[in-house]
Amino acid sequence: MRIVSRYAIALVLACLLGGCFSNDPYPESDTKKNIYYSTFSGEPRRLDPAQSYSEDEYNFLNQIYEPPLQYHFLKRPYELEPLTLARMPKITAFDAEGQALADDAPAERIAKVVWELTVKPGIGYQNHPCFAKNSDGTYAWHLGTDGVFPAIAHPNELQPQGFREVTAEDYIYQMKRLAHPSLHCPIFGTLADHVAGFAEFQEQLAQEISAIRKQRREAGGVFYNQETDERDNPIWLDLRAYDIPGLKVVDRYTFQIILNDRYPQLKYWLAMPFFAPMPWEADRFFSQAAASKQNLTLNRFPVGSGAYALDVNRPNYRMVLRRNPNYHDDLYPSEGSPDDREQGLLDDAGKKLPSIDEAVYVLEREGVPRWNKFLQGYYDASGVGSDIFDQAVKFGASGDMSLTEDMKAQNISLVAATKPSTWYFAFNMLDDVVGGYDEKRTKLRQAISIAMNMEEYIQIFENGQGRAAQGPVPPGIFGFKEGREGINPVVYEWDEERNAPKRRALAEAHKLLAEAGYPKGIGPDGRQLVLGFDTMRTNAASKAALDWIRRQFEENLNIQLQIRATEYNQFQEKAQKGNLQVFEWGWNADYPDPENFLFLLYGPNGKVKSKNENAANYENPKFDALFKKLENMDNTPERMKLLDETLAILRHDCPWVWGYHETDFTLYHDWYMNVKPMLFGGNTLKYKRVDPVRRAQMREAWNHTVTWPVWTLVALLVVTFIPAAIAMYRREKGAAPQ
Amino acid sequence: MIAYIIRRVLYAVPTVIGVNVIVFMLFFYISNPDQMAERHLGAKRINPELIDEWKREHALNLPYFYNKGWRSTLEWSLSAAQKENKKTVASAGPGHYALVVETPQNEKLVLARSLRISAGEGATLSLPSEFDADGRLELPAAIGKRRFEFDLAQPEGAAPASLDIAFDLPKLESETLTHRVVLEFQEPIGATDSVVETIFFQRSVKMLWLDFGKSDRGNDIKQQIFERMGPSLAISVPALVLGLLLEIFFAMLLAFFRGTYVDYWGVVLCVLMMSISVMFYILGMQVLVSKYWHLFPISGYAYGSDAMKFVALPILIAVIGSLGGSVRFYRTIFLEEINKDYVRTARSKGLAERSVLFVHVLKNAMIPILTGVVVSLPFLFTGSLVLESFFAIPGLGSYTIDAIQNVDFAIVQAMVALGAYLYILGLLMTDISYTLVDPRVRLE
Repeated sequence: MRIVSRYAIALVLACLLGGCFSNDPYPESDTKKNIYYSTFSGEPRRLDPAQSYSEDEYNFLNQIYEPPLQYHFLKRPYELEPLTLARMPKITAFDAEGQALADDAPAERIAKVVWELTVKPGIGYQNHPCFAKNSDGTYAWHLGTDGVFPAIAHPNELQPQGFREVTAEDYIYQMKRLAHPSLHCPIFGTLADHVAGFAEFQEQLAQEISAIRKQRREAGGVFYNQETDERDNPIWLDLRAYDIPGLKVVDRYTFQIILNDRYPQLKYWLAMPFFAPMPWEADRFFSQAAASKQNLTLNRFPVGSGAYALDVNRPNYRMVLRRNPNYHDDLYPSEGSPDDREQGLLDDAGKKLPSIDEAVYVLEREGVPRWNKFLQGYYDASGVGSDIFDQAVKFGASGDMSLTEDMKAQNISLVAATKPSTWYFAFNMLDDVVGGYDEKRTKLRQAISIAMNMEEYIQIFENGQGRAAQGPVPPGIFGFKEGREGINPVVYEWDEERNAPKRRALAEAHKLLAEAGYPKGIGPDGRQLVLGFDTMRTNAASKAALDWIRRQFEENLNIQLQIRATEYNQFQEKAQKGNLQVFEWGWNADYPDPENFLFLLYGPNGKVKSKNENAANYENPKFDALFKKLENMDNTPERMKLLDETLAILRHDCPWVWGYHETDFTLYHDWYMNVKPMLFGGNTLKYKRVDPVRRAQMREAWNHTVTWPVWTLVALLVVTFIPAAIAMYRREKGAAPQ
Repeated sequence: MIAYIIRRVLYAVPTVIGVNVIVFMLFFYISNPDQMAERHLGAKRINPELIDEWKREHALNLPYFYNKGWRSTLEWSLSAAQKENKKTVASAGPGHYALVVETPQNEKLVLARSLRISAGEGATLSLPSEFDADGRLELPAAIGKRRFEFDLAQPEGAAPASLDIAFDLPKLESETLTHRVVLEFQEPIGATDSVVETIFFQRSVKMLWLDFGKSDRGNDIKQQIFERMGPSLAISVPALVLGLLLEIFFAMLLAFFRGTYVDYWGVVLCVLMMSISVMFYILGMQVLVSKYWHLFPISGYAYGSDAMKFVALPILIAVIGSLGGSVRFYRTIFLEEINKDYVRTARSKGLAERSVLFVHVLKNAMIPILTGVVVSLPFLFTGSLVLESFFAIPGLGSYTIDAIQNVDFAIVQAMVALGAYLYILGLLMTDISYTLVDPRVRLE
């Protein structure tokens, strides 16, 4: 025993002297490297650009894959610009005789619309074994059915590798993948409505695949297992062999997308990874037995032409992006507002991108460690969750927001931006009590809309950060208006003094409620009105917010509210069956266009009816007609006029209590530069710059190890055991116990 | 002993099958394949076709336990996109059919309308009684999902007749129409196929030979388990060894000083430590040791020798967290042994109290200690959920919980089956270890 404790003490001493204590989570050799450090909280599930459609995954995908267009890094409102294209797409409409039509030709005359896209020459893919060729011109790693790879965890362990130029063919290949039935592309339905022959193409592929499967099952015998079989022998269809009327390669760098109608929103989709080029070699590489047996899939190991390539993919540990050595010429933008110039966002104008060599994303599930590592300088930027909000931000006397002294001492900066999203409280329009379009029910909804004080909600539950909504369209999107003309007159009036919208008085809500047939919340049957409120917020932390909502109904209107909280999938099922009365839900914009919010209220998109996104099942023929009209228009004054009309209808009908738009905060250290919130697109990593030397200095200054507590503890332990040791010694020398 | 082990291993087979059946039923009772598909396809822009396709892809379109041979031959949703209201199966041929009709479950959306089934020339249909002589069915409002079975008969040798399904609409307002129709055909199916072609068979049987296959999101489960095992072991093994040594040492110490101030305050301290939640230790130590003293990284992990600085704190916490309870438990065991005859004999031989305790008593007290420890050995690699999540350790701790949240049945099933195997293994190892420490125990 004595020997063991002696070793332990020696070990502790060695530790202290050798300075093995350090809270630096990274290898020492990386300290001064040009690396960006960030976090992610949920494992990215799909990294295939044809399948992925979530924010977490786009964080990575946007840096790896390059669609034809991108949003300008600095300009606001958001503006699209060519990324891999030589110029913006050329859009021409044709009539049935093949005559080109003018831009303002009526929709009925249009037979097809041709989008012609020309790719810049000289864009290179990342290095990848799928491109590598043998001296005889065959592909080194396209092995056929019997081939085997050496045991590897990542395709970049295979040698030789190669790369090639991006061509028009690759864009078409990827678009064909969007129709592949096994890939479940989330926007396939949308595209099939517009791209000529797209739906038929999927049907054709589906039939071919099921024929192959049937054949294999018959040949496989009793113990045939589809999953096992397709792992050992994946089904690969060479999509190059198919022709779709809607997709055409013109020459090496030019291709056409042919639509059945005008669909200007396509330009926004063209800025998303769905439309990034996909080399057929990559698809072939990953669809061979050698790859799928080792679980190497395109879904885990992207092959793109973007500024970065995925170097480490361990979704339960960390993701690492490394600069793509073949990245094309791309320069930091030189246009921006005077504000941008003042904030130093134009300091790098004209410099070659990207600046950062490597980006390390660490999985952090819990907020406390993430936040503390940011404060210690181990992450370059951090979001501001509600748990740490008070530590980071304080409000002045006049309600203005600034950073706390602690933050200022560390020279941390803050940026905020209203998100293009909306969180709403909706009424199920199919419900007998709150739904319906007659005056009484409309008034009931209006009364509730006034009584639900969103300003208070934001103050309490969103730390005052967010904006009460005046309609479905959030700020920054065409159709949203600031100031007096943008307010919702049903719920707000204009406060001249404060020059701001003011919520109508509760008395007005009471009056509306009485007119709706529920004076003081008492219905015609003499009983208090009881409504059900459905929510997917089931965790304990949401209880306060739900209580607040209940109180709004009870105290302001004397309506009893029964909260029914269920898990999200059960909530969705209730929504699909229309078993909701009042409920809450949210929407994040896909692209900066009002259509992307108004379609949430378009009648034929009803949740119950067509499992689409109109969860309120709102259906007003007048609104639907206007929506159809403005849906595919360009952002003209005429469209604005139509938008005003539609918003007026919606505000009157009140299918939603218009909820609020969230604000997004980012804190960042002074060695991290070119931070501008970009809520669409998001291929921002290439613009960012870090100053590793400054970072190393600050980390050292902030993280001196404190070793005296260890000494004290060791000393304390020794002191406590001295009397015991003495007693033991005495007893052994003395008489045996009685 | 070999016979005993073989017998125990054979007992394991029905246990594992039983566990599989129960997990399967529980899981599919909570979420059906449609919900699984929705969950995996994401929240936005989902339609029934996408869900069907996903289910086909994952063999979840099959029946649960018994396949009667139904194959869908036609799937059809009437929606804004499809404006036709009639579908024909060109050469359907004779046989037993089923028509599944699904309407929106809200009566306001379903206008009264009817459906008609008709067959080509020369063929006769025998429809259920709900249909009239003309083959027409008045669809009541909001029927939800209904299934109608019928037969199509043809004279011998005739060419396969066609089958028409048509909606009669009052007006063609097909924009707002979303009836969903699936026509199924019952193929003659062999006895084996009717068991094999089911979700249960396709997914559960391979568990018996530890082929876990792919998770529903497409990752290889075995690979994932191996990948995550290392970090979990890096914490749990040192924590167990260190913990066991310290616990036995302290328990011995308390037993040695029984009745003195050391014993009294030691037990008080143990009770105190038992009462504090592990969460408190985690957060407290993270703040104190990592945030203020900067001794270890607050969270994270590194593979290889760099792992030391990341696992030190979690190991410490794991040890401290279990120390109180175990020391008290082991102390009781030692005290019980200490009053036995052989101890008195040892003492009367004139042995020092130290060697009585650490040689004679310890050996005999090992049986109850081993029971607890050995059975937990196989679970070392499944790790600890709380510790791993707070310290961002990429281990197995959260694997099952994450899978349940993501409705990933393949992983849940694999982990539960694995758990069952490990438990059986643990019990077996305990039995065997008894024979090693106690020569009186014989396994027959």
